[in-house]
Amino acid sequence: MARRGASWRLVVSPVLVVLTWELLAVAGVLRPNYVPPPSQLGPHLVGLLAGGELWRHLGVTLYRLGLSFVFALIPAILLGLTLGMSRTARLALEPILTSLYAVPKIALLPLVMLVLGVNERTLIFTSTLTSFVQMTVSTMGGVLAVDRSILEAGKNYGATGWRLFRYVLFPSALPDIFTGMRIGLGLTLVLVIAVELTAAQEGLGAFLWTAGQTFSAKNLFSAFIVIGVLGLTLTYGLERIGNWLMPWRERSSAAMFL
Amino acid sequence: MLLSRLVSREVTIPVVTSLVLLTAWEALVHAGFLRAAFFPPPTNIVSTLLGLAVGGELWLHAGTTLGRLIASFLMALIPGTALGLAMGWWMGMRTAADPLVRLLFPIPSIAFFPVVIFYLGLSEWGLLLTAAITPFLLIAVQSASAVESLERTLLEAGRNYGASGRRLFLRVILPAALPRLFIGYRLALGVGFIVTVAVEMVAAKHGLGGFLWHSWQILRIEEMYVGLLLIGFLGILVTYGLEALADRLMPWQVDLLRSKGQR
Repeated sequence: MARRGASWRLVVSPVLVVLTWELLAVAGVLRPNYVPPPSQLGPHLVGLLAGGELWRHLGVTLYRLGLSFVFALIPAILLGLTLGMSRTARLALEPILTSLYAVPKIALLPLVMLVLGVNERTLIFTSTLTSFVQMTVSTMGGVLAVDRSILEAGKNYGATGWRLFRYVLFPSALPDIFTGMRIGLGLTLVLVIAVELTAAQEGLGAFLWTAGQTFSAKNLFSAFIVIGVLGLTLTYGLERIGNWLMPWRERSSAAMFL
Repeated sequence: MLLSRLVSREVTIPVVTSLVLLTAWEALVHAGFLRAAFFPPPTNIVSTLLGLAVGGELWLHAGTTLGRLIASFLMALIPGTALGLAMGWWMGMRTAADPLVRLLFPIPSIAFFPVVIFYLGLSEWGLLLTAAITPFLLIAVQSASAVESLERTLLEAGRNYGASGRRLFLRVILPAALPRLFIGYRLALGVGFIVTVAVEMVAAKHGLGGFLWHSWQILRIEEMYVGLLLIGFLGILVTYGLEALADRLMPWQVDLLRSKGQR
């Protein structure tokens, strides 16, 4: 079975792809206006960044993403913990939560636009909802999945009430809460970009859409690269932070994608 | 026995809460506290739903979305599984494909859409391909990790009993890897559904996403709610239906599928 190898293995194929791409462009197989070669794309991206335009769009997208995440964070964790610990609350609210969880939140956009109007608040509210539902469900799942024997052990050592929560339950559920935050952030990024494609003038999604509609391949690829780097940073960066914050959690490659 | 199960808390509390909420909604609208223009009473929504169902329009849109979902899922499933299994088994394949997959996977799925239609135009293929990309990557990663995490003893035992090549793959590797493959399929279907609906909202006339967007634009609010309801129904089917299917197909590894936090 293949095992994870040295770090040079990580660079070989991306470098080969870029080289092949460049060579195909030089050989005239790919037309530069259609598929811009890396040697033209690099300077173009640098130019866009230097001009400040791309930074502005990135800033708008990051602002929307961050604000929605922060608004959702505390209520979602509180509700998730409550639902995890109280069976009655869970039975009462689970139908609503399960339905909301299963609906792609982008589908709620028209409803929110109807009530709040077509403006920034609508966008933020829909994104907040995405983060909120995901983090609530993950937090609840985390509490429910806490090993009963750990709880029993805590009780036997005399922990009850707040102490049991603070030193036993919460640390055990924390890895799942964190996973929920990472997935929530990822889904919210998808939503923000999607909404920007449909209904915004600013932001990376809007820039990407305009580039495609005006047949500017270089802008299109540049925006795509910036969005990609953003996604990569969020996914792998948060994973690193999580490993650093919670050395006691199990690291599994599968958990990356849940 | 049956009666006591039916009236147990597991059933009564969720049913009662839902009924109370729906009744409260209906009552608040009629009492004038909720604006019917924004929140039409549930009874109106249901009658619109029935009207659209009888007229056949509803089936057209629901069928279109379901068809797109299945088609794009198959476009992701077959190559994704093949690539993933190969990546898990051969070091060379892993070196070649794994970095690319990991590089592309975290890119927000919907961002592929403008790039895809730049080349394919606003065609059905463009929609399907966009909805297939992230599921494909997800399935590949998950299938690779399914093979990687196989227990070596299982393989050795298989070999000692004389299985090799195709037999080893079909009788040992595949059944052992199947539960993890299924996790990938379930997640991929969920992602595929989100992207399908999003893409339909942006750029399609037919399908539930298109129907939803169109009814919002011409302010047919009841129809908008019907669209939302059906998308929710499909979403529930996609999210929980596959889980139920997995329970039936693979009763030997139920726990793994009910992974933490992802229910």
